[in-house]
Amino acid sequence: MSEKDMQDLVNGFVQELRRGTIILGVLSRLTEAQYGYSLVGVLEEKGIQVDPGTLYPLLRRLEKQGLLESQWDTNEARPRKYYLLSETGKRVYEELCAEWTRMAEGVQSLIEPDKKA
Amino acid sequence: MEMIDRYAFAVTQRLPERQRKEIDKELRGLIEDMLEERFASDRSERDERAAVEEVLMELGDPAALAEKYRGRPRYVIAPELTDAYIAVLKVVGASIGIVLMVVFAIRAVIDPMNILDYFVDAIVSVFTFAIPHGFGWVTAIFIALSFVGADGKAWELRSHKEPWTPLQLPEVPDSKRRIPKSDPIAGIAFTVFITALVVFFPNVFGVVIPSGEGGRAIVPFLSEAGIRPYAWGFLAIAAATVSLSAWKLRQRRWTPPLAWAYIALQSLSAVFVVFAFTDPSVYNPSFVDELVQAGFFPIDGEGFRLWSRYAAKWIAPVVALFLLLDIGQTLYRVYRK
Repeated sequence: MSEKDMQDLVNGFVQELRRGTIILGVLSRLTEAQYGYSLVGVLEEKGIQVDPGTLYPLLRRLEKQGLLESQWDTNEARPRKYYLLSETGKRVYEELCAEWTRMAEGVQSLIEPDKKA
Repeated sequence: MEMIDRYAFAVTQRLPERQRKEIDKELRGLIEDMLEERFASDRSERDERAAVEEVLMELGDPAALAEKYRGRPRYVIAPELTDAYIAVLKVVGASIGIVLMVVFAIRAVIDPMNILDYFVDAIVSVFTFAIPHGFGWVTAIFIALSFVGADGKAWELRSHKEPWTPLQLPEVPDSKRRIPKSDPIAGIAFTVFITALVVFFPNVFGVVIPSGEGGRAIVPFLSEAGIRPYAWGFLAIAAATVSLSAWKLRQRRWTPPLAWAYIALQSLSAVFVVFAFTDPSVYNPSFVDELVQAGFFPIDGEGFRLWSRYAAKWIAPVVALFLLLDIGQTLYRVYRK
């Protein structure tokens, strides 16, 4: 296997790992209203890279599923769509957090010995 | 900025009508936000162009972005049907190809003088008949099937009412219940072959008689004008048979729903065939006279005329007998212990 093929494989796996964590990251930041691009910046500060081309459709999907509520703010220079957690969203977020903690601990304990060796 | 308009249009035109306005607004806002963050607000015209290009490059191919907004891949023919679609297309294409060759061969043998015309006819038929009818029908059928099985589950024809348990696992089919791949393929080939000949080339069924200076001609047994009112029925039955064969290809075993669908279709076809072929107008009214004229019958054709009227009465019982045998065999395959 060439170096490039391996890198492609790794990228594919990383994509899969990130998919769920992005949702978790997005939900965690929406206890206060945010618009799409500000959310990109906020997540980036925490080291979560997400490109707007992925985030914007994701926000729409989460809204459609009833986890978020949105509102256009037309008071600024240009209209922006602000998103905020709904009641359902809050509960879903809490459950996901608990699940994530369990998962992260489990994975961590699995890979820990490998690291030391 | 024209390029932004183009980009927004390229994305939104790929989306459902009712989402377009909203997503257009969102996208433009996003592009503005990105420009603002990256480039100082006092931009010259040239810089702006480059800046917009850079931002759009980052957002990437509009088709891919629209795909993300849609959230599910779009298809006309369901991915799980693609194999069956290609298989059926091959069989239908081959059958129609053979029909065209057979028709050409018959005409060429009977009337070698005009062989070139017949050859040109056969080539033209590929475009006027084979492609629109063969490719068109098969594609339409599979689009319809994809639509029906949009969730991909209708294909399995499982009831969604109860959750899956291992008890529902179908038994490994014994050789009697298993459908060999050749069965649906032969079924499609036969159906297409007969339907194409009867509906589009009824004149090849007949008796060859000498004509003119050493030439030969066919006295057609069927009447093209008489068949025409029934053409849609023949085509509809062929389409239904191809659909059912596709189902067989997918399932490869006899199950009660498949068996009953098959029985229903066979019964319907039998009724239709009897209905069509007991109608005197589908036969060439001057068939006997032309044969008498050609000296085919030593005496006048009255005897033959009587015989053929008698034969028409036999169509229904014979078809019914074969139908009953077929139904019996199908039920035996499905319900035998």
